[in-house]
Amino acid sequence: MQVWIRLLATYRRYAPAGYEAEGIYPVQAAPGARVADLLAALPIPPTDSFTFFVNGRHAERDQVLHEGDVVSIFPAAGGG
Amino acid sequence: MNGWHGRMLRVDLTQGSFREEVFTEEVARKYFGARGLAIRVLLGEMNPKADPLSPENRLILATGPLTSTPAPTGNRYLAIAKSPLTGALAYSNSGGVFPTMLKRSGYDLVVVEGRAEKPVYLWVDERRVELRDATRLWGRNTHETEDAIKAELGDDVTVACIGPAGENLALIAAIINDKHRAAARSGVGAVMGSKNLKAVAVRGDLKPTLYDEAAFRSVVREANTRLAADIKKGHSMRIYGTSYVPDVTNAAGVFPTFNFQLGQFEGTSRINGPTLREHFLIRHSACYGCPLACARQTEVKAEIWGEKYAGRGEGPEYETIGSLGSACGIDNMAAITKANYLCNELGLDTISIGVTIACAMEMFEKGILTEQEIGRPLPFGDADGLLELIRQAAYRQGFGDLVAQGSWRLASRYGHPELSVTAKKQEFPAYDARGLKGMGLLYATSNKGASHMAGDTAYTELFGVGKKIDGLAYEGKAQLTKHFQDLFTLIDSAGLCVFVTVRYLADPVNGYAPAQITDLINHATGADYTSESLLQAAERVYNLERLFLVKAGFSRADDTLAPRMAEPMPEGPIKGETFDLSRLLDEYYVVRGWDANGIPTRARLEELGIAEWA
Repeated sequence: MQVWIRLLATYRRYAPAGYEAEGIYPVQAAPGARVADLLAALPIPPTDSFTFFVNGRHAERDQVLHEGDVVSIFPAAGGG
Repeated sequence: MNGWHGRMLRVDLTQGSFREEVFTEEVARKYFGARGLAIRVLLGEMNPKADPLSPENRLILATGPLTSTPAPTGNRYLAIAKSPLTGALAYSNSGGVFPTMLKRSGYDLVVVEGRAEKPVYLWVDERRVELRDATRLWGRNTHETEDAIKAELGDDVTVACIGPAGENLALIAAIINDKHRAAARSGVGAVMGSKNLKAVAVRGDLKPTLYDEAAFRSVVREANTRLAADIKKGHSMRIYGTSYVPDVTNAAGVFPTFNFQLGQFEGTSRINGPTLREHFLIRHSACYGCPLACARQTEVKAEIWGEKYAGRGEGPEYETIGSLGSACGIDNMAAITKANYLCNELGLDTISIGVTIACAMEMFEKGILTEQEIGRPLPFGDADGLLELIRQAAYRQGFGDLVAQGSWRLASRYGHPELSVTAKKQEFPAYDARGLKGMGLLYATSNKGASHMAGDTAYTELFGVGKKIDGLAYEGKAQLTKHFQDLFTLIDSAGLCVFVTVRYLADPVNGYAPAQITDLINHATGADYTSESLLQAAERVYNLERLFLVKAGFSRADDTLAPRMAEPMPEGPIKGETFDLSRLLDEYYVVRGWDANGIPTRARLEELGIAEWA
């Protein structure tokens, strides 16, 4: 199935070539894949503290993904 | 005294006189910090029902015990008064260099009352105080004013001043310091203007002693080490400043768009951090001594973007992008940045004027306002209309006279208050409450009307700093909002900035306890607060502020939100979502120890040791 990864803020730099500007790109995931599977495939340093949404909402790492889901990922920096 | 001078400067502009007033350590601990000492003055001395633009109102410039210390971000001050926009309290927080120099001028607080016969400015140089004629400065913008005062007094002086907007009593006028930093919200600039006080200039090197400087510096070192490690990895706040946030709020569907009719903006990628960085950034900059350096010096080059948008300054920050940008349907970053410069120069709150113009745009598109009334067509996306109305508002010219009064008065005048996205008549910051229930409760109950700075639960509901709490859930939000209100009262009162403090000086993993904030305050002042007793000191301040509102006539009937929040979000990640305040308000009052009408109970006030103020 196809899901989308959207890398925000400083994490855009981890997007594949050609996708850095918008930071969103499609990936193929096995049926039953979980958020953790997607995250594991990204080159984000394990010591980083980051936040992710599935379709705009906080989610757990073991949440099962569905066709068309958008996983947004950004460093947990706060702000306002 | 340690951490404090124990002195406030009292200025009576009607008499043209000033005097020093000392306060004791006992008072400084009971009425904690900038907001504590200020509310003690306001409650004790003025009629809470007084006209905010009358001489009776006090304008208080207040520092905290950590202002001007080496504590990371220990460089904030607040402008505190009764607000002419809301009729409730104003406590507007700003950084820059001025807050540290205000403290080092030898006073913890400056309390201004009365009204000068002619324009004056206040000059404080290590406890030498002078009121100087400002007639020739009246009418000048904030940059010209600061330059003129520095030419008179020297380059080592720092200045907070008003622009034309404050002089002309725009209810959304700001006080600008160091040219680019704003105590923006709730019309504090109009209070200053009503007093004929053009500026406050300060200089000095008087630092209060720290009770245990070695221990203090050890806490600072530890926090700075953690922050430096994150900056090395690529901290979004260092690289983009708050301009990284539009992408996050847009992804969550809470980015105010077309006057909060929608929560996602098609033009977001044109008004975000990477765009700012690529096209406008000169360099990042810092408030005095700040290790984060989240500010941005920017330039809009005439040869690229056109003469009408050209300029140089700082910003825009996230809130400004949301208000002057997406809320108005504007995706032109050059225009937003120029509008930000104009607001700083003219002395206006970017949030309130942006959301007010967004409201006018919606009224125009719905046929409630005509081209004739506005003096031009004003559809969403009209960047030139935005710039024109900002100028008009500062001078109260034409339709700008209505814009200067904020969206609630504008929309009400035409019979449509439901189009004003406000709480207590103050415009929402750039987080839609339908997707962040804690923020909605915050806006509705805050002592200053809608404001993220009054207790930003988005730290957990959106940004997931420390703990991730579902923004859409109602459960637990009464307690969460109350905690964040008290925590932010503490941060304000201490003289800190939320950006570093919430993540590096509080303990986000353990309930956002004020962990190292407590240590720093104890080491600075010699107090022996625990996290719990310090939070209770903040809660005491919060309740005193609420008492001021109650005495001013506020009650449950005023703890409301813009009707727009009851309309289902039409599309996006939170499609169909509303904000139902009735699910939270009773529980919130119980958590606060207030009665069903939102009034602090005698029992709660006794617990907090402030029953004498009831």
